[in-house]
Amino acid sequence: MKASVTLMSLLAALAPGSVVVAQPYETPPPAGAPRPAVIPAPFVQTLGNGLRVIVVERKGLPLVTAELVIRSGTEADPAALSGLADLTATLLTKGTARRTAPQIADAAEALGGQLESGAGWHRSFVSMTVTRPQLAAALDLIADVTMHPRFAAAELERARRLAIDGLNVSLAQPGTLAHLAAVRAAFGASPYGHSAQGTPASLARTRRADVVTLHTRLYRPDNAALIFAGDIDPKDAVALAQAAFGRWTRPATALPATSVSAAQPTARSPLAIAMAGAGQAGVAMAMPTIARAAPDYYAGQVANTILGSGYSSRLNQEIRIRRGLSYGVQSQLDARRAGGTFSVSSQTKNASAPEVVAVMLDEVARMGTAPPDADELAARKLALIGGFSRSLETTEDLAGRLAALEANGVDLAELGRVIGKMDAVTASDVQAFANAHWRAGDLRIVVAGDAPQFADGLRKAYPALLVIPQTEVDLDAPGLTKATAK
Amino acid sequence: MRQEIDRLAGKPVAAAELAKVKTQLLTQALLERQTPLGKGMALGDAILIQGDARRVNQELDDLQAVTAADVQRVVRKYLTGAPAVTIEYTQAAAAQGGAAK
Repeated sequence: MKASVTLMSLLAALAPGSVVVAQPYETPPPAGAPRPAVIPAPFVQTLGNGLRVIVVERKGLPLVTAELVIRSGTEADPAALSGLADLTATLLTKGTARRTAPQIADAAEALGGQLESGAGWHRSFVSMTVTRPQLAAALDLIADVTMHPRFAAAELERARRLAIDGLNVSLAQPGTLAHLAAVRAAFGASPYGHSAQGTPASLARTRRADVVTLHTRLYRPDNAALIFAGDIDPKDAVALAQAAFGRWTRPATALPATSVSAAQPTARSPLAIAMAGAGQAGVAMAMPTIARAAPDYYAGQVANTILGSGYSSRLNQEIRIRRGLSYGVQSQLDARRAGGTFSVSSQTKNASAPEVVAVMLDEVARMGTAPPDADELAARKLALIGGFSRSLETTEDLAGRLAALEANGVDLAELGRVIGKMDAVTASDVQAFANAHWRAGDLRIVVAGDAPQFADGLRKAYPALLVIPQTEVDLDAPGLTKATAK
Repeated sequence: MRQEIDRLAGKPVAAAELAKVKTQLLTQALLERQTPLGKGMALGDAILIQGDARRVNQELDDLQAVTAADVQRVVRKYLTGAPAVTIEYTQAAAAQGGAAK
Protein backbone atom coordinates (compact mmCIF):
# COMPACT_ATOMS: atom_id res chain seq x y z
CA MET A 1 0.00 0.00 0.00
CA LYS A 2 1.95 2.95 -1.29
CA ALA A 3 -0.49 5.56 0.00
CA SER A 4 -0.22 4.41 3.59
CA VAL A 5 3.58 4.29 3.42
CA THR A 6 3.58 7.91 2.28
CA LEU A 7 1.20 8.88 5.06
CA MET A 8 3.34 7.14 7.65
CA SER A 9 6.48 8.97 6.54
CA LEU A 10 4.63 12.25 6.60
CA LEU A 11 3.57 11.64 10.19
CA ALA A 12 7.10 10.66 11.11
CA ALA A 13 8.39 13.88 9.55
CA LEU A 14 5.97 15.95 11.56
CA ALA A 15 6.70 14.20 14.80
CA PRO A 16 10.10 15.47 16.04
CA GLY A 17 10.09 18.24 18.56
CA SER A 18 6.46 19.04 18.99
CA VAL A 19 4.91 15.75 20.09
CA VAL A 20 4.07 15.00 23.70
CA VAL A 21 4.90 11.30 23.60
CA ALA A 22 2.55 9.25 25.72
CA GLN A 23 3.95 6.31 27.67
CA PRO A 24 3.60 3.40 25.23
CA TYR A 25 1.86 0.33 26.59
CA GLU A 26 3.07 -3.17 25.72
CA THR A 27 -0.32 -4.47 26.80
CA PRO A 28 -3.52 -2.54 27.31
CA PRO A 29 -3.82 -0.95 30.76
CA PRO A 30 -6.09 -2.89 33.12
CA ALA A 31 -9.74 -1.93 32.97
CA GLY A 32 -10.93 0.24 35.82
CA ALA A 33 -13.90 -0.62 37.99
CA PRO A 34 -17.23 -0.34 36.16
CA ARG A 35 -18.68 3.14 36.45
CA PRO A 36 -22.45 2.96 36.34
CA ALA A 37 -24.21 5.65 34.33
CA VAL A 38 -25.80 8.01 36.84
CA ILE A 39 -28.92 9.74 35.61
CA PRO A 40 -30.39 12.47 37.79
CA ALA A 41 -34.14 12.38 38.37
CA PRO A 42 -35.82 14.52 35.71
CA PHE A 43 -37.36 17.83 36.76
CA VAL A 44 -40.98 18.19 35.66
CA GLN A 45 -43.23 21.26 35.74
CA THR A 46 -46.54 21.75 33.93
CA LEU A 47 -47.27 25.15 32.34
CA GLY A 48 -50.69 26.78 32.61
CA ASN A 49 -51.73 25.44 29.20
CA GLY A 50 -50.95 21.85 30.18
CA LEU A 51 -47.53 21.54 28.50
CA ARG A 52 -45.20 19.40 30.61
CA VAL A 53 -41.68 20.80 30.78
CA ILE A 54 -39.10 18.08 31.46
CA VAL A 55 -35.47 18.85 32.23
CA VAL A 56 -32.39 16.70 32.74
CA GLU A 57 -29.39 18.91 33.31
CA ARG A 58 -26.04 17.64 32.03
CA LYS A 59 -23.08 19.96 32.29
CA GLY A 60 -19.68 19.69 30.64
CA LEU A 61 -20.37 20.82 27.10
CA PRO A 62 -22.52 23.87 26.23
CA LEU A 63 -25.04 21.80 24.28
CA VAL A 64 -28.78 21.41 24.75
CA THR A 65 -31.28 19.18 22.97
CA ALA A 66 -34.84 20.51 22.94
CA GLU A 67 -37.47 17.98 21.93
CA LEU A 68 -41.18 18.68 21.69
CA VAL A 69 -43.13 15.45 22.06
CA ILE A 70 -46.78 14.90 21.25
CA ARG A 71 -48.06 11.85 23.15
CA SER A 72 -49.80 10.50 20.03
CA GLY A 73 -48.31 9.02 16.92
CA THR A 74 -48.57 6.04 14.64
CA GLU A 75 -51.25 4.31 16.77
CA ALA A 76 -53.56 7.25 15.91
CA ASP A 77 -53.42 6.57 12.15
CA PRO A 78 -56.95 5.96 10.81
CA ALA A 79 -57.30 2.37 9.53
CA ALA A 80 -57.41 3.46 5.89
CA LEU A 81 -54.63 6.03 6.26
CA SER A 82 -51.61 4.21 7.65
CA GLY A 83 -48.58 6.49 7.78
CA LEU A 84 -50.66 9.65 8.42
CA ALA A 85 -48.99 10.55 11.74
CA ASP A 86 -45.52 10.18 10.26
CA LEU A 87 -46.43 12.18 7.16
CA THR A 88 -47.97 14.91 9.35
CA ALA A 89 -44.85 15.16 11.53
CA THR A 90 -42.60 15.18 8.46
CA LEU A 91 -44.58 18.09 6.99
CA LEU A 92 -44.28 20.27 10.11
CA THR A 93 -40.84 21.52 9.08
CA LYS A 94 -41.88 22.13 5.46
CA GLY A 95 -43.45 25.55 5.96
CA THR A 96 -45.32 27.62 8.55
CA ALA A 97 -47.56 30.65 8.47
CA ARG A 98 -44.48 32.90 8.45
CA ARG A 99 -41.67 30.75 7.03
CA THR A 100 -41.31 28.71 3.85
CA ALA A 101 -39.56 25.33 3.88
CA PRO A 102 -36.26 26.81 2.63
CA GLN A 103 -36.48 29.60 5.23
CA ILE A 104 -36.92 27.00 7.99
CA ALA A 105 -33.92 25.06 6.70
CA ASP A 106 -31.85 28.26 6.54
CA ALA A 107 -32.86 29.28 10.04
CA ALA A 108 -31.95 25.87 11.46
CA GLU A 109 -28.63 25.89 9.64
CA ALA A 110 -27.77 29.33 10.98
CA LEU A 111 -28.28 27.98 14.51
CA GLY A 112 -25.79 25.21 13.80
CA GLY A 113 -28.27 22.37 14.23
CA GLN A 114 -30.74 20.25 12.36
CA LEU A 115 -34.45 20.57 12.90
CA GLU A 116 -35.84 17.05 12.87
CA SER A 117 -39.38 15.78 13.05
CA GLY A 118 -41.11 12.44 12.77
CA ALA A 119 -43.52 10.06 14.42
CA GLY A 120 -43.43 6.63 16.01
CA TRP A 121 -45.75 4.60 18.23
CA HIS A 122 -47.43 6.94 20.76
CA ARG A 123 -45.29 9.92 19.88
CA SER A 124 -44.67 12.62 17.32
CA PHE A 125 -41.69 14.88 17.82
CA VAL A 126 -39.80 17.95 16.72
CA SER A 127 -36.25 18.25 17.99
CA MET A 128 -33.05 20.19 17.66
CA THR A 129 -29.63 20.15 19.33
CA VAL A 130 -27.78 23.46 19.54
CA THR A 131 -25.17 25.27 21.59
CA ARG A 132 -26.62 27.00 24.63
CA PRO A 133 -26.54 30.57 23.18
CA GLN A 134 -28.74 29.43 20.25
CA LEU A 135 -31.37 27.70 22.41
CA ALA A 136 -33.98 30.47 22.54
CA ALA A 137 -33.93 30.83 18.76
CA ALA A 138 -34.14 27.05 18.32
CA LEU A 139 -37.20 26.92 20.59
CA ASP A 140 -38.82 29.69 18.59
CA LEU A 141 -38.36 27.57 15.48
CA ILE A 142 -39.66 24.39 17.16
CA ALA A 143 -42.70 26.29 18.48
CA ASP A 144 -43.43 27.81 15.07
CA VAL A 145 -43.41 24.48 13.20
CA THR A 146 -45.39 22.73 15.95
CA MET A 147 -48.11 25.34 16.31
CA HIS A 148 -48.42 26.93 12.88
CA PRO A 149 -47.52 24.45 10.12
CA ARG A 150 -48.79 25.49 6.72
CA PHE A 151 -49.17 21.98 5.21
CA ALA A 152 -48.85 23.49 1.73
CA ALA A 153 -50.27 21.30 -1.03
CA ALA A 154 -47.01 21.30 -2.98
CA GLU A 155 -45.05 20.17 0.08
CA LEU A 156 -47.57 17.41 0.77
CA GLU A 157 -47.14 16.16 -2.80
CA ARG A 158 -43.36 16.24 -2.50
CA ALA A 159 -43.34 14.41 0.84
CA ARG A 160 -45.86 11.88 -0.45
CA ARG A 161 -43.77 11.12 -3.55
CA LEU A 162 -40.62 10.75 -1.48
CA ALA A 163 -42.32 8.43 1.01
CA ILE A 164 -43.91 6.30 -1.72
CA ASP A 165 -40.57 5.96 -3.52
CA GLY A 166 -38.95 4.89 -0.25
CA LEU A 167 -41.69 2.35 0.44
CA ASN A 168 -41.47 0.92 -3.06
CA VAL A 169 -37.78 0.28 -2.43
CA SER A 170 -38.17 -1.12 1.10
CA LEU A 171 -41.22 -3.29 0.33
CA ALA A 172 -39.27 -4.90 -2.51
CA GLN A 173 -36.95 -6.32 0.17
CA PRO A 174 -38.17 -9.77 1.24
CA GLY A 175 -37.08 -9.12 4.85
CA THR A 176 -39.04 -5.87 5.21
CA LEU A 177 -42.15 -7.25 3.54
CA ALA A 178 -42.09 -10.46 5.61
CA HIS A 179 -41.71 -8.50 8.86
CA LEU A 180 -44.57 -6.09 8.12
CA ALA A 181 -46.80 -8.96 6.98
CA ALA A 182 -46.01 -11.00 10.12
CA VAL A 183 -46.90 -8.03 12.35
CA ARG A 184 -50.18 -7.58 10.47
CA ALA A 185 -50.91 -11.30 10.81
CA ALA A 186 -50.23 -11.10 14.57
CA PHE A 187 -52.50 -8.09 15.16
CA GLY A 188 -55.14 -8.14 12.42
CA ALA A 189 -57.28 -5.00 12.64
CA SER A 190 -55.61 -3.70 15.84
CA PRO A 191 -53.72 -0.43 15.25
CA TYR A 192 -50.44 -2.13 16.18
CA GLY A 193 -50.83 -4.24 13.03
CA HIS A 194 -50.20 -1.49 10.53
CA SER A 195 -47.09 -0.11 8.86
CA ALA A 196 -45.83 3.00 10.67
CA GLN A 197 -44.62 4.49 7.40
CA GLY A 198 -47.87 3.59 5.64
CA THR A 199 -48.16 1.90 2.27
CA PRO A 200 -47.98 3.35 -1.25
CA ALA A 201 -51.77 2.96 -1.44
CA SER A 202 -52.55 4.59 1.92
CA LEU A 203 -50.25 7.53 1.19
CA ALA A 204 -51.86 7.98 -2.23
CA ARG A 205 -55.26 8.19 -0.49
CA THR A 206 -54.14 10.79 2.05
CA ARG A 207 -55.51 14.31 1.56
CA ARG A 208 -54.43 17.59 3.04
CA ALA A 209 -57.62 17.69 5.14
CA ASP A 210 -56.56 14.41 6.80
CA VAL A 211 -53.24 15.93 7.80
CA VAL A 212 -54.88 19.11 9.11
CA THR A 213 -57.46 17.10 11.08
CA LEU A 214 -54.81 14.96 12.78
CA HIS A 215 -52.79 18.05 13.64
CA THR A 216 -55.81 19.90 15.05
CA ARG A 217 -56.94 16.89 17.12
CA LEU A 218 -53.65 15.84 18.64
CA TYR A 219 -51.12 18.69 18.53
CA ARG A 220 -52.23 20.52 21.64
CA PRO A 221 -50.32 21.58 24.76
CA ASP A 222 -52.17 19.23 27.09
CA ASN A 223 -51.03 16.32 24.89
CA ALA A 224 -47.42 17.47 24.74
CA ALA A 225 -44.16 17.65 26.63
CA LEU A 226 -41.11 19.81 26.01
CA ILE A 227 -37.93 17.97 26.94
CA PHE A 228 -34.63 19.71 27.66
CA ALA A 229 -31.45 17.64 27.99
CA GLY A 230 -28.06 19.22 28.44
CA ASP A 231 -26.46 22.38 29.74
CA ILE A 232 -29.52 24.13 31.15
CA ASP A 233 -31.05 24.39 34.61
CA PRO A 234 -34.76 23.86 35.27
CA LYS A 235 -35.45 27.53 36.03
CA ASP A 236 -34.07 28.75 32.71
CA ALA A 237 -35.76 25.88 30.87
CA VAL A 238 -39.19 26.76 32.26
CA ALA A 239 -38.71 30.44 31.40
CA LEU A 240 -37.69 29.57 27.82
CA ALA A 241 -40.57 27.11 27.48
CA GLN A 242 -43.02 29.75 28.71
CA ALA A 243 -41.65 32.31 26.25
CA ALA A 244 -41.82 29.96 23.25
CA PHE A 245 -44.96 27.93 24.05
CA GLY A 246 -46.89 30.01 26.64
CA ARG A 247 -49.28 31.31 23.98
CA TRP A 248 -50.13 27.82 22.73
CA THR A 249 -53.77 27.54 23.79
CA ARG A 250 -55.39 24.44 25.21
CA PRO A 251 -58.59 23.67 23.26
CA ALA A 252 -61.87 23.71 25.20
CA THR A 253 -62.68 20.22 23.98
CA ALA A 254 -61.50 17.20 25.93
CA LEU A 255 -58.40 15.43 24.71
CA PRO A 256 -59.40 12.50 22.46
CA ALA A 257 -59.02 9.27 24.41
CA THR A 258 -56.28 6.94 23.25
CA SER A 259 -57.11 3.32 23.12
CA VAL A 260 -55.43 0.59 21.15
CA SER A 261 -57.82 -2.24 20.45
CA ALA A 262 -56.66 -5.74 21.30
CA ALA A 263 -54.80 -7.89 18.81
CA GLN A 264 -56.93 -10.04 16.51
CA PRO A 265 -54.40 -12.49 15.11
CA THR A 266 -55.20 -14.07 11.79
CA ALA A 267 -55.56 -17.84 11.65
CA ARG A 268 -53.55 -17.92 8.42
CA SER A 269 -50.06 -18.89 9.45
CA PRO A 270 -47.60 -19.59 8.10
CA LEU A 271 -47.96 -17.51 5.02
CA ALA A 272 -45.66 -17.58 2.00
CA ILE A 273 -45.41 -14.46 -0.14
CA ALA A 274 -44.26 -15.29 -3.65
CA MET A 275 -41.75 -12.73 -4.95
CA ALA A 276 -40.69 -14.15 -8.30
CA GLY A 277 -36.92 -14.15 -8.73
CA ALA A 278 -36.12 -12.86 -5.23
CA GLY A 279 -32.47 -13.60 -4.47
CA GLN A 280 -33.16 -14.32 -0.80
CA ALA A 281 -36.06 -15.18 1.43
CA GLY A 282 -37.15 -12.97 4.31
CA VAL A 283 -38.28 -15.03 7.30
CA ALA A 284 -40.27 -13.22 9.98
CA MET A 285 -42.50 -14.09 12.89
CA ALA A 286 -44.40 -11.85 15.28
CA MET A 287 -46.83 -11.90 18.18
CA PRO A 288 -48.34 -9.39 20.61
CA THR A 289 -46.40 -8.85 23.80
CA ILE A 290 -46.27 -6.96 27.10
CA ALA A 291 -46.57 -3.19 27.62
CA ARG A 292 -43.62 -1.05 28.68
CA ALA A 293 -45.08 -0.62 32.17
CA ALA A 294 -45.43 -4.39 32.73
CA PRO A 295 -43.61 -5.60 35.87
CA ASP A 296 -41.73 -8.27 33.90
CA TYR A 297 -40.54 -5.81 31.20
CA TYR A 298 -36.91 -6.11 32.30
CA ALA A 299 -37.02 -9.90 32.47
CA GLY A 300 -38.38 -9.70 28.92
CA GLN A 301 -35.52 -7.49 27.73
CA VAL A 302 -32.92 -9.80 29.22
CA ALA A 303 -34.71 -12.83 27.73
CA ASN A 304 -34.82 -11.12 24.34
CA THR A 305 -31.11 -10.32 24.51
CA ILE A 306 -30.31 -13.97 25.29
CA LEU A 307 -32.55 -15.13 22.45
CA GLY A 308 -31.83 -12.78 19.61
CA SER A 309 -29.99 -9.53 20.27
CA GLY A 310 -26.29 -9.35 19.43
CA TYR A 311 -23.72 -11.65 17.87
CA SER A 312 -23.64 -14.16 20.75
CA SER A 313 -27.40 -14.54 21.04
CA ARG A 314 -28.81 -18.07 20.81
CA LEU A 315 -30.47 -17.41 17.46
CA ASN A 316 -27.30 -16.00 15.92
CA GLN A 317 -25.18 -18.82 17.33
CA GLU A 318 -27.43 -21.44 15.82
CA ILE A 319 -28.42 -19.80 12.53
CA ARG A 320 -25.26 -17.93 11.62
CA ILE A 321 -22.35 -19.45 13.51
CA ARG A 322 -23.24 -23.17 13.61
CA ARG A 323 -25.33 -23.58 10.47
CA GLY A 324 -24.16 -20.73 8.23
CA LEU A 325 -27.70 -19.98 7.08
CA SER A 326 -27.60 -16.20 7.37
CA TYR A 327 -25.39 -13.25 8.22
CA GLY A 328 -27.86 -12.01 10.74
CA VAL A 329 -30.93 -12.92 12.72
CA GLN A 330 -32.53 -10.88 15.45
CA SER A 331 -35.43 -10.79 17.84
CA GLN A 332 -37.03 -7.63 19.12
CA LEU A 333 -39.23 -6.92 22.12
CA ASP A 334 -40.90 -3.60 21.35
CA ALA A 335 -42.97 -2.81 24.45
CA ARG A 336 -45.28 0.21 24.17
CA ARG A 337 -48.03 1.95 26.10
CA ALA A 338 -50.76 -0.61 25.37
CA GLY A 339 -48.85 -3.80 24.71
CA GLY A 340 -46.28 -4.29 22.02
CA THR A 341 -44.70 -6.51 19.43
CA PHE A 342 -42.32 -9.42 19.83
CA SER A 343 -40.73 -10.38 16.53
CA VAL A 344 -37.96 -12.52 15.08
CA SER A 345 -36.52 -11.92 11.62
CA SER A 346 -33.77 -12.94 9.25
CA GLN A 347 -32.86 -13.25 5.59
CA THR A 348 -31.53 -16.49 4.16
CA LYS A 349 -31.15 -18.20 0.81
CA ASN A 350 -34.53 -19.27 -0.49
CA ALA A 351 -33.97 -22.99 -0.08
CA SER A 352 -32.94 -22.58 3.59
CA ALA A 353 -36.11 -20.78 4.66
CA PRO A 354 -37.89 -23.89 6.05
CA GLU A 355 -34.84 -24.74 8.18
CA VAL A 356 -34.60 -21.15 9.50
CA VAL A 357 -38.30 -21.21 10.45
CA ALA A 358 -37.79 -24.46 12.37
CA VAL A 359 -34.66 -23.23 14.17
CA MET A 360 -36.32 -19.95 15.16
CA LEU A 361 -39.31 -21.76 16.67
CA ASP A 362 -37.04 -24.25 18.46
CA GLU A 363 -34.96 -21.49 20.00
CA VAL A 364 -38.02 -19.54 21.14
CA ALA A 365 -39.42 -22.70 22.73
CA ARG A 366 -36.03 -23.58 24.29
CA MET A 367 -36.08 -20.28 26.22
CA GLY A 368 -38.85 -21.84 28.33
CA THR A 369 -37.08 -25.15 28.91
CA ALA A 370 -33.39 -24.22 29.04
CA PRO A 371 -32.71 -21.24 31.30
CA PRO A 372 -29.36 -19.48 30.79
CA ASP A 373 -26.43 -20.66 32.89
CA ALA A 374 -24.53 -18.09 34.96
CA ASP A 375 -22.03 -17.25 32.20
CA GLU A 376 -24.62 -16.80 29.48
CA LEU A 377 -26.82 -14.67 31.73
CA ALA A 378 -23.91 -12.47 32.83
CA ALA A 379 -22.62 -11.95 29.29
CA ARG A 380 -26.01 -11.10 27.81
CA LYS A 381 -26.85 -8.75 30.68
CA LEU A 382 -23.56 -6.94 30.12
CA ALA A 383 -24.41 -6.58 26.43
CA LEU A 384 -27.86 -5.23 27.26
CA ILE A 385 -26.69 -2.85 29.99
CA GLY A 386 -23.71 -1.68 27.93
CA GLY A 387 -25.96 -0.97 24.98
CA PHE A 388 -28.38 0.94 27.18
CA SER A 389 -25.58 3.00 28.74
CA ARG A 390 -24.19 3.86 25.30
CA SER A 391 -27.68 4.96 24.29
CA LEU A 392 -27.48 7.79 26.83
CA GLU A 393 -24.18 9.32 25.75
CA THR A 394 -25.40 12.36 23.87
CA THR A 395 -27.98 14.94 24.91
CA GLU A 396 -30.01 13.85 21.89
CA ASP A 397 -29.94 10.22 23.11
CA LEU A 398 -30.97 11.30 26.58
CA ALA A 399 -33.88 13.39 25.29
CA GLY A 400 -34.95 10.47 23.10
CA ARG A 401 -34.98 8.07 26.06
CA LEU A 402 -37.10 10.53 28.06
CA ALA A 403 -39.43 10.96 25.10
CA ALA A 404 -39.94 7.18 24.92
CA LEU A 405 -40.86 7.00 28.62
CA GLU A 406 -43.20 9.98 28.26
CA ALA A 407 -44.84 8.40 25.18
CA ASN A 408 -45.37 5.12 26.99
CA GLY A 409 -46.77 6.71 30.14
CA VAL A 410 -43.90 5.58 32.39
CA ASP A 411 -42.60 7.58 35.39
CA LEU A 412 -39.59 9.50 34.06
CA ALA A 413 -37.48 8.68 37.11
CA GLU A 414 -37.51 5.11 35.80
CA LEU A 415 -34.60 6.14 33.58
CA GLY A 416 -32.34 6.08 36.63
CA ARG A 417 -33.61 2.65 37.69
CA VAL A 418 -33.25 0.83 34.35
CA ILE A 419 -29.72 -0.49 34.86
CA GLY A 420 -30.40 -1.75 38.38
CA LYS A 421 -33.55 -3.52 37.25
CA MET A 422 -31.83 -5.12 34.27
CA ASP A 423 -29.01 -6.27 36.52
CA ALA A 424 -31.42 -7.79 39.04
CA VAL A 425 -33.03 -10.17 36.51
CA THR A 426 -32.32 -13.84 37.35
CA ALA A 427 -32.23 -16.98 35.20
CA SER A 428 -35.53 -18.08 36.64
CA ASP A 429 -37.08 -14.67 35.82
CA VAL A 430 -36.00 -15.21 32.23
CA GLN A 431 -37.47 -18.70 32.11
CA ALA A 432 -40.69 -17.55 33.75
CA PHE A 433 -41.01 -14.74 31.22
CA ALA A 434 -40.50 -17.11 28.30
CA ASN A 435 -43.04 -19.59 29.65
CA ALA A 436 -45.60 -16.87 30.32
CA HIS A 437 -45.26 -14.94 27.06
CA TRP A 438 -43.48 -16.89 24.34
CA ARG A 439 -45.75 -19.71 23.32
CA ALA A 440 -44.22 -20.54 19.95
CA GLY A 441 -47.65 -21.47 18.59
CA ASP A 442 -48.78 -17.84 18.99
CA LEU A 443 -46.14 -16.59 16.56
CA ARG A 444 -47.47 -15.67 13.14
CA ILE A 445 -44.98 -16.75 10.50
CA VAL A 446 -44.33 -15.20 7.08
CA VAL A 447 -41.73 -16.20 4.51
CA ALA A 448 -41.32 -13.88 1.51
CA GLY A 449 -39.15 -14.84 -1.43
CA ASP A 450 -38.88 -17.10 -4.46
CA ALA A 451 -41.67 -19.43 -3.31
CA PRO A 452 -41.00 -22.44 -5.56
CA GLN A 453 -37.69 -22.87 -3.75
CA PHE A 454 -39.17 -23.13 -0.25
CA ALA A 455 -42.93 -23.79 -0.48
CA ASP A 456 -42.59 -27.59 -0.68
CA GLY A 457 -40.17 -27.64 2.24
CA LEU A 458 -42.55 -25.57 4.37
CA ARG A 459 -45.50 -27.78 3.42
CA LYS A 460 -43.79 -30.77 5.03
CA ALA A 461 -44.24 -29.08 8.42
CA TYR A 462 -47.32 -27.04 7.48
CA PRO A 463 -49.55 -28.86 4.97
CA ALA A 464 -52.05 -25.98 4.98
CA LEU A 465 -49.41 -23.41 3.91
CA LEU A 466 -50.93 -20.50 2.03
CA VAL A 467 -48.94 -19.02 -0.87
CA ILE A 468 -49.92 -15.50 -1.91
CA PRO A 469 -48.39 -13.64 -4.86
CA GLN A 470 -46.73 -10.38 -3.82
CA THR A 471 -49.18 -8.44 -5.98
CA GLU A 472 -52.10 -9.77 -3.89
CA VAL A 473 -50.63 -8.69 -0.55
CA ASP A 474 -52.31 -5.69 1.05
CA LEU A 475 -50.60 -4.60 4.26
CA ASP A 476 -53.54 -2.27 4.97
CA ALA A 477 -55.99 -5.19 5.09
CA PRO A 478 -56.43 -6.94 8.46
CA GLY A 479 -56.38 -10.27 6.61
CA LEU A 480 -53.39 -9.23 4.47
CA THR A 481 -54.95 -9.93 1.06
CA LYS A 482 -56.78 -7.58 -1.25
CA ALA A 483 -59.82 -9.88 -1.36
CA THR A 484 -60.46 -9.41 2.35
CA ALA A 485 -59.89 -5.66 2.36
CA LYS A 486 -62.94 -3.61 3.19
CA MET B 1 -18.19 25.74 -9.13
CA ARG B 2 -15.24 27.82 -10.32
CA GLN B 3 -17.40 30.93 -10.16
CA GLU B 4 -18.27 30.35 -6.51
CA ILE B 5 -14.62 29.76 -5.64
CA ASP B 6 -13.62 32.93 -7.51
CA ARG B 7 -16.33 34.85 -5.67
CA LEU B 8 -14.89 33.72 -2.32
CA ALA B 9 -11.43 34.76 -3.48
CA GLY B 10 -12.61 38.13 -4.78
CA LYS B 11 -14.70 39.40 -1.88
CA PRO B 12 -14.55 38.69 1.86
CA VAL B 13 -17.35 36.46 3.06
CA ALA B 14 -20.26 38.31 4.72
CA ALA B 15 -20.23 38.49 8.52
CA ALA B 16 -23.53 36.61 8.92
CA GLU B 17 -22.36 33.79 6.67
CA LEU B 18 -19.06 33.51 8.50
CA ALA B 19 -20.87 33.40 11.85
CA LYS B 20 -23.24 30.73 10.56
CA VAL B 21 -20.43 28.48 9.41
CA LYS B 22 -18.47 28.97 12.63
CA THR B 23 -21.57 28.03 14.64
CA GLN B 24 -22.02 24.91 12.53
CA LEU B 25 -18.40 23.82 12.90
CA LEU B 26 -18.38 24.51 16.63
CA THR B 27 -21.66 22.67 17.18
CA GLN B 28 -20.44 19.71 15.15
CA ALA B 29 -17.19 19.51 17.11
CA LEU B 30 -19.06 19.65 20.44
CA LEU B 31 -21.55 17.00 19.31
CA GLU B 32 -18.67 14.67 18.48
CA ARG B 33 -17.02 15.27 21.85
CA GLN B 34 -20.06 14.07 23.80
CA THR B 35 -19.03 10.42 23.59
CA PRO B 36 -15.85 8.73 24.87
CA LEU B 37 -15.19 7.63 21.29
CA GLY B 38 -15.51 11.20 20.04
CA LYS B 39 -13.22 12.51 22.78
CA GLY B 40 -10.68 9.83 21.87
CA MET B 41 -10.86 10.75 18.20
CA ALA B 42 -10.39 14.45 18.98
CA LEU B 43 -7.38 13.67 21.18
CA GLY B 44 -5.92 11.32 18.60
CA ASP B 45 -6.29 13.98 15.95
CA ALA B 46 -4.57 16.53 18.16
CA ILE B 47 -1.65 14.20 18.93
CA LEU B 48 -1.14 12.59 15.52
CA ILE B 49 -2.08 15.32 13.09
CA GLN B 50 -1.37 18.48 15.07
CA GLY B 51 1.48 17.08 17.14
CA ASP B 52 0.28 18.22 20.55
CA ALA B 53 -2.46 16.80 22.75
CA ARG B 54 -3.11 20.27 24.17
CA ARG B 55 -4.31 21.43 20.76
CA VAL B 56 -7.60 19.67 21.55
CA ASN B 57 -8.46 22.47 23.96
CA GLN B 58 -7.16 25.28 21.77
CA GLU B 59 -8.49 24.44 18.32
CA LEU B 60 -12.09 25.49 18.98
CA ASP B 61 -10.94 28.93 20.18
CA ASP B 62 -8.74 29.20 17.09
CA LEU B 63 -11.75 28.37 14.95
CA GLN B 64 -13.75 31.18 16.55
CA ALA B 65 -10.91 33.63 15.86
CA VAL B 66 -10.94 33.09 12.08
CA THR B 67 -11.77 36.32 10.19
CA ALA B 68 -13.24 36.94 6.75
CA ALA B 69 -9.80 38.11 5.64
CA ASP B 70 -8.29 34.79 6.79
CA VAL B 71 -10.84 32.91 4.66
CA GLN B 72 -10.08 35.03 1.62
CA ARG B 73 -6.32 34.62 2.08
CA VAL B 74 -6.60 30.82 2.30
CA VAL B 75 -8.92 30.59 -0.69
CA ARG B 76 -6.45 32.64 -2.72
CA LYS B 77 -3.48 30.57 -1.61
CA TYR B 78 -4.88 27.04 -1.88
CA LEU B 79 -7.86 27.20 -4.24
CA THR B 80 -7.34 29.86 -6.88
CA GLY B 81 -3.56 30.11 -6.57
CA ALA B 82 -2.73 26.43 -6.87
CA PRO B 83 -2.74 23.96 -9.75
CA ALA B 84 -6.05 22.13 -10.02
CA VAL B 85 -7.42 19.13 -11.87
CA THR B 86 -11.02 18.96 -13.04
CA ILE B 87 -12.57 15.61 -13.80
CA GLU B 88 -15.86 15.28 -15.65
CA TYR B 89 -17.40 11.89 -15.20
CA THR B 90 -20.06 11.17 -17.83
CA GLN B 91 -21.66 8.11 -19.38
CA ALA B 92 -19.87 7.10 -22.58
CA ALA B 93 -22.92 7.11 -24.86
CA ALA B 94 -24.21 10.45 -23.64
CA ALA B 95 -20.74 12.01 -23.85
CA GLN B 96 -20.34 10.89 -27.47
CA GLY B 97 -23.76 12.28 -28.32
CA GLY B 98 -22.74 15.58 -26.73
CA ALA B 99 -25.87 15.46 -24.57
CA ALA B 100 -24.18 15.28 -21.18
CA LYS B 101 -23.68 18.22 -18.77
